[in-house]
Amino acid sequence: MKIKNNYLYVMSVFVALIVLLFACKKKDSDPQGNDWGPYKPTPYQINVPVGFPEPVIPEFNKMTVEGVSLGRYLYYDPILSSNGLSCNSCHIRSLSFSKQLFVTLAGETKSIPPHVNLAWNPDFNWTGSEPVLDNLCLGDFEPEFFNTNKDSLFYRLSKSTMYPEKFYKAFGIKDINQLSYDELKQKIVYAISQFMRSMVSGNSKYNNFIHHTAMMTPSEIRGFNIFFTEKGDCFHCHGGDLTTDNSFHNTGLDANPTSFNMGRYNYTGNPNDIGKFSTPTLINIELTAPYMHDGRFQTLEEVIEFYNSGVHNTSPNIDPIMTKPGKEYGLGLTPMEKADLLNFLKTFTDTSFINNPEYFNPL
Amino acid sequence: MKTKALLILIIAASVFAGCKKEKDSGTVTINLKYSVDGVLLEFDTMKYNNQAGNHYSVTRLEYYLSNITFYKSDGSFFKTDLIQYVNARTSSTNQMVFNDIPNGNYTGITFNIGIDSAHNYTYSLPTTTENNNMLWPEPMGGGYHFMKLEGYFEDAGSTPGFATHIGTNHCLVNINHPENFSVKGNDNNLTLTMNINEWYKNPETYDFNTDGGYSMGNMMAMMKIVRNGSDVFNQ
Ligand code: HEC
Ligand code: HEC
Repeated sequence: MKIKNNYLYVMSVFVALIVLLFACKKKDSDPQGNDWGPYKPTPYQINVPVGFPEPVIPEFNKMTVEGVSLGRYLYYDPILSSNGLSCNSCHIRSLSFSKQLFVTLAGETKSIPPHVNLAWNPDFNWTGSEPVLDNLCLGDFEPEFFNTNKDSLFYRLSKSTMYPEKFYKAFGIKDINQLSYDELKQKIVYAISQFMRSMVSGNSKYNNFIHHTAMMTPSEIRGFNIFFTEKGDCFHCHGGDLTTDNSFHNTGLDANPTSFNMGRYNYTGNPNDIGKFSTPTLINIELTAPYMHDGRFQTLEEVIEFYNSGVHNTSPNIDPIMTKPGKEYGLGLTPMEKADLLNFLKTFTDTSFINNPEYFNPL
Repeated sequence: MKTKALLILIIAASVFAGCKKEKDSGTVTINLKYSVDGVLLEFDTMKYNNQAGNHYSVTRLEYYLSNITFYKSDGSFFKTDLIQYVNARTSSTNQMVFNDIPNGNYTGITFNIGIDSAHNYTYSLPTTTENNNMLWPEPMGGGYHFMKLEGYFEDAGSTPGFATHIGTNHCLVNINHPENFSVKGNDNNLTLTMNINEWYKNPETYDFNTDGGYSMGNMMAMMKIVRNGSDVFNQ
């Protein structure tokens, strides 16, 4: 298009110059006058392993390199609590970011779940009580966990030598003290969620085997065949690359579930949900004992024996997969088949995940 | 000013021409519904009876539709290449929209429940959570579950589950659905209703007690379901 009005042209160049001048003069600095440069976070791309679906990243908390980095520091830092706890106190890296047990104020014993491939989870906690990862950890500031002291949190974060800059780089926040407590907690939780979404495991022997880039021993293959045929029939719930169908099932742990054992019912109030729990990932299952929502089984041998002979067929809403004809008396696995299944379950271990320096404690 | 007027004239003329030209194809939307012998399906309620006399409920219904082909009265046809994952409980998966269906008088559609052998191999479909949950394990032949139909039935005082699963290339269900409709550059809606009971009768009565509540890995049971399945959308 031809600009006919030369006057307009000259004027707009002039205005643009003035704007530019002001922009250059304005410094990106905190109240102490530190110069952190422009707020320009770098988008973070999750490295999606072959065979995985696309991860679920919410629009309101897009991942950035700076956000993931801030989240990693906060994940390991007791600065968030008034009792010395950090996320890492209950989610320990060598245990695939899980830990044994936690007893709630209500007296329920819970097995602490691992953090692995959370970017693909549509629901969190054993009963799926939290559908949004970015909201889940808000509960951690409560007395039951961090017992966070608001004033001390503001004071320590804003006086820290690194956090003001990290909050600026991740979220463009120039002065933490200008935030409300709720806003501050929200940003902390967003950053930690970004870090947790960056924790991806797709390199177990199992994952490599199904994509033809690793071999298994004959025993592991026999176990694989039990797992992935009607013989053991584990695959309907623990199949695919993620080893979870991301759904809820009653596997028949209790004949008459009460209290925490009522599972998802405690969250939805729907009688059809009594006894149902979220299918856990089996990635790194070797590292995350004890097992089941309440940690009732100490070893994988006990878990296998449960599926083999301990299923309560009359439990309400027991999954149809668990009560197939011919299996009324269990799976009927021989001792060797049980050993094969155990060896196969250990192929879910991904040491490259727990040893990935990107997830190490940076402090 | 002159050029502007000319431009407006050209735009107006082209819009006018566009309106005059009749579209030679239309849109067909297929909606999927579920019933048990004429009554709309309700999940999680023990209130249905099949021909064998099993009293049962339905908790899960997932399947694939593919090779949807529209037949004209002159014998010509229009084949689509969509492979649709359907979960009866998720309404968004129960609607398929086909743009560009050629104008004409149609007498019916054919399609498959399941995925044909050319596409029925592990990871042939995009790796969505739904597709990955439908994978049919490699040791059992690979590919995808064509259908998972699950629920509970009453059996001498207890309520065991049943899982009517079909998969593997032998078990592709062929559907021929006669229906007259015409496409004339317009929007058309077709409704297909699956009668759950048809899986368990016609031509062969299927009894959860004797045929097995669990069909996967049981080729006899699966083939019976497949033969019964050809008219699930026609009754
Ligand atoms: C005192 C122990 C404890 C601390 C500290 C703790 N958690 Fe947890 N975490 C748990 C327990 C117990 C559960 C399981 C709760 C349930 O299922 O009801 C859990 C569950 C989770 C889950 C859900 C995982 C899944 O697979 O569903 C996430 C995510 C999580 N915690 C993140 C965090 C973060 C982030 C922090 C730090 C801000 C943190 N946790 C601190 C004990 C703890
Ligand atoms: C019907 C779905 C279903 C089937 C089939 C199934 N599981 Fe599970 N599995 C679950 C659910 C749900 C849980 C969590 C139960 C709970 O904590 O109450 C679970 C828990 C587990 C755990 C403990 C996980 C942890 O973090 O504590 C292991 C190990 C396991 N299953 C292995 C298997 C094996 C091996 C098979 C086959 C023999 C199998 N599962 C079959 C749904 C299933």
